Amino acid sequence: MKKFISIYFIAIMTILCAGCGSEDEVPPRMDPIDNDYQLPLPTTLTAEDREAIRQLQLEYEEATADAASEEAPSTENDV
Amino acid sequence: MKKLIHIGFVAIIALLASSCKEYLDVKPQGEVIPKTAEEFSALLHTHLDAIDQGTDSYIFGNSIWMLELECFSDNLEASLTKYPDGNTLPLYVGSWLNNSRNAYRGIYSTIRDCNIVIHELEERDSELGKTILATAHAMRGACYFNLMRLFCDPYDPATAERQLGLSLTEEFDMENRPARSSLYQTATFIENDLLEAIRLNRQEAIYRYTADVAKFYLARVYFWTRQWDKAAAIAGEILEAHPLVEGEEYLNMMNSKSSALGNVLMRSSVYATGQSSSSDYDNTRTLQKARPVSKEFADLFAEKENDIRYALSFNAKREATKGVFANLRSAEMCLVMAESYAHLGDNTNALKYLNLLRSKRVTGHTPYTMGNLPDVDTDNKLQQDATGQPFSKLTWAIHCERRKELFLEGDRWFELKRHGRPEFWAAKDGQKYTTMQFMYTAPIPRNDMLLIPGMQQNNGYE
Repeated sequence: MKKFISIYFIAIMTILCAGCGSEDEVPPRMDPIDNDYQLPLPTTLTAEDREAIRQLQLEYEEATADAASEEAPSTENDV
Repeated sequence: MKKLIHIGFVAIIALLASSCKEYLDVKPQGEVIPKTAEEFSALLHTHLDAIDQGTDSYIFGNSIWMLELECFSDNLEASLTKYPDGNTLPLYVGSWLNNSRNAYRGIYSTIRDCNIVIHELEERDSELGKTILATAHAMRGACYFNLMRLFCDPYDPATAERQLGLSLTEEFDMENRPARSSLYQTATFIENDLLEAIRLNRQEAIYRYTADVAKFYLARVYFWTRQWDKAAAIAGEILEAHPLVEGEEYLNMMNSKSSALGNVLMRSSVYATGQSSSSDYDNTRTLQKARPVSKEFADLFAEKENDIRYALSFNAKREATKGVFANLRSAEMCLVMAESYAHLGDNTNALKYLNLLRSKRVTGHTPYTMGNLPDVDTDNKLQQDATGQPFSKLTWAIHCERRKELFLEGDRWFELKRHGRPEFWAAKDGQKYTTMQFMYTAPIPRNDMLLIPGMQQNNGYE
């Protein structure tokens, strides 16, 4: 009796494990792990670059200093 | 007892064996093709609805894609972005290039559906059949045109037969994996699609891609491929059928949240009352203020308040205030005519259409003549016209007018691409991000590089 149970147990386990053997039936996915392309890394701003940015900010602040702090009324319509 | 165990064993085996039956089978090809014209139309309505809802980014475009394209360009000053409001804005085109595969996949999905309609539709002679067929041709042509501008180098007529074009698929075939055609073949394919749509001459506005819309795209194709005579001719047809508007009518057209007013042939978000499109349009209205317009752009408005676009485009804080939506409208055709005539050496007509547009936008404007055109800005990053020649005063004036007129409409990035792909940079957190020349052309997605034998990548990507 015990012998039968053991044989059946082994047989079932074998069938169960064998059932996992055809994992390639579905066409393989072609998603590589990394889809991204390596783009040039950013560089550190040089002193000259920082000065250019400073001038840009300065000009912007001066040009918009007189702007009303209130939001301009929306001209959007919902036609 | 033994008998029970035997029965149990057989039952378990039977269950195990039967449970595996066909559950992993791939659905058979060729058995899901619709049959009636109405069923075929459903394939297209999915995409048309996305355009109307403002959820489509790349077939026609929506507000957020128009804003992103502007962020790639130099109309907005990336280095002055206000954070955290501007966190979701791309700093430069490099922020998007690795997401360009979404555009590639999305547009090719639409092309697949168009291919199914074009090749499988049997009901081709009914009115509905013709409409669906024309829509599919026009939509496919527009899709390939969008891909061409994003994933191919700028078109050069002298070398187009050697330049890399797109993978052209004409019919639905899951096994077909064509490598890239030449750029000339790609442009010809697009042209033929649009010509077929025009020949079918459908006007049903509900299908959006009417004959006039197909003509509009055809003018864009001729313009991009530098076929100036053809571009001017077909743009003239559109302009005649949809004349320019001015004053209040122009402002209403540009400020409408959801209606195609004035001479707008087609636009995104016409169902902006819906949940998704409303958020796309409205979110963009907020987001666009996080990055000020550049001084260079602001300085283009020499006539200041006399130019109706000045107050429309940005406020005193240089925040972009113009409503953002994808659209096709006649002003672009007027500018196509002006530039095309200029390249053809027909200065009279070039000035005529440049002045026509300015007369609709600038109060009390003085018409340009060859004697009073403004000087070319020799400090500008762009120094060559679309043919690679130095700007003349005329082509420079047209170029500047185009920049003002089509601000926030997804045009400037492709203008930079058409005019020599200049390199420029933006700063964030002490780092310098440079838009390099090769970045004007997006990479072919890596999946396609692996799956398609002989597929060639654009320069700069490995």
